[in-house]
Amino acid sequence: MHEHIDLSSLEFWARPYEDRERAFRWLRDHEPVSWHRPPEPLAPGLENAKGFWAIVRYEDIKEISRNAKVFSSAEGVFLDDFPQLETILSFIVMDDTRHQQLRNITQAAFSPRNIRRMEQQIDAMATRIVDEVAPLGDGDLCELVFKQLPGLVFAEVFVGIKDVRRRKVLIEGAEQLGAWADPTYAHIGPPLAVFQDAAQRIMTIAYEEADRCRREPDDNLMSWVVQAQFEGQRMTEAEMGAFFTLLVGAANDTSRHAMAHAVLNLQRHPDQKALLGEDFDGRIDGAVEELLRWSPPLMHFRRTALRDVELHGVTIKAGDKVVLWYCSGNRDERAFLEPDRFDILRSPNRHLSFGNGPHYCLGAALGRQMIKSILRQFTNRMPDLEVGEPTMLLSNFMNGVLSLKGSWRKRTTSACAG
Amino acid sequence: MEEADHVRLRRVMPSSTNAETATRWICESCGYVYDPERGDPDGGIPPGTAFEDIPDNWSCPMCGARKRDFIPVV
Repeated sequence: MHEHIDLSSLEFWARPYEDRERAFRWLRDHEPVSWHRPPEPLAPGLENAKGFWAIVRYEDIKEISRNAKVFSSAEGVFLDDFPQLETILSFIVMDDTRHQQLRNITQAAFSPRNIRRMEQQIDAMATRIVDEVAPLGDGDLCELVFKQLPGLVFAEVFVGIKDVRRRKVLIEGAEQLGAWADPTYAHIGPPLAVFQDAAQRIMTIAYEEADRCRREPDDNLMSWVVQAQFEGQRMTEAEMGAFFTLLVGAANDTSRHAMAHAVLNLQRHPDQKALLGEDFDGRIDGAVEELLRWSPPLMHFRRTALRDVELHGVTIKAGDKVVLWYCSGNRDERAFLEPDRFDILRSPNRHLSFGNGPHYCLGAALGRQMIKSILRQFTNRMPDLEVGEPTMLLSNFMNGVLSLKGSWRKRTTSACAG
Repeated sequence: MEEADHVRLRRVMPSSTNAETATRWICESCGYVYDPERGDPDGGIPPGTAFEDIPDNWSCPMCGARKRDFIPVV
């Protein structure tokens, strides 16, 4: 039995990633479906009532993800009970048919085809950011780079916000959304009040920008969202506000952590970093997939069983929480050859870092592109960049890097990046 | 508990079959399901297009995987 592995304890999530992976490997080998007590609360007042089933094998995660008729997202998607947070999670916490309608309204804007059309624009933004950072010589890359790029892309490209002050409100709001349980924001109130404060400020901008885009439609996501229909359905005003808030949080937070892990993991594997540098354009797509497999920015999503289900000899009852551990699936020996080897040439590499099935990450192509653009800048313009040990977020959900200090030779030249 | 009270996971999942009897195709990479009735208008595939008639250079509208990464499902 798995008593020595307590996924519900905060102590477990304070351990290094590779230590936790050893525990997940034990579960994959001995107890692929295991019951755990209610998770310890992240803050007072956030106590959880129910325990959960941990799903840790690749194929099980994939198949449950694809089976939304039996495994619902509408009852919540986190291991912890956060009903107040879920009001702004838009169609992440919906099942079909409304989920599919809302998703289809927005999907084309985030499709790999559309993101490919934005490649040069995103590259140019990464260039601008590194123009400012390269002359500094050292600093926290999370603050200087990884928070900035998603904020710029989202505010300028997707919403068309040129005003620096409003863009700052969005970036800071996203930061506050992701760090709502952090004591830094305790002056605002308890954690849920911190979250709601951030969501409210973001939604205010959402409604103002939606008005502007209705009056003066432009070639941006917001104009698309206020006009788009799918099978005669539009987003309601409230759905639009929730969708916008979700995007601000999701686009900013997950991307920034993925970029931080990318830089860190390439430094930890110098042979692979050199391999990438030898043929950046030829190897970057594979490298991004391996970086995502190795350090998924989100470690789980949850479903709720709508009917009794039998899996590996265990009965999951209707109403039970079922938690899909993507971080474990990505290292499953049954799905990946030598899963503990970091290999940017790995192919195929069908990791679970963006989930699978109807709730597959809408922003996957955008996230991939931002990692590519920033690694191109670092490879070409700051090849001597060295980073220290990261400060990690304590979380069972977000594999977050709070701080990653780096140093590099000061450079004042710019715009020579390929 | 009666067997009927259970849903055996494998039974409710789309099961692989051969291409000749397939009505829909699923992307192995992300789980997107290609439904010929809907097609992929944004990707230039009109509603009513059979999977076999999609050009080989078409890619999954959700994750960008290639056509050959799709498998048939019932």
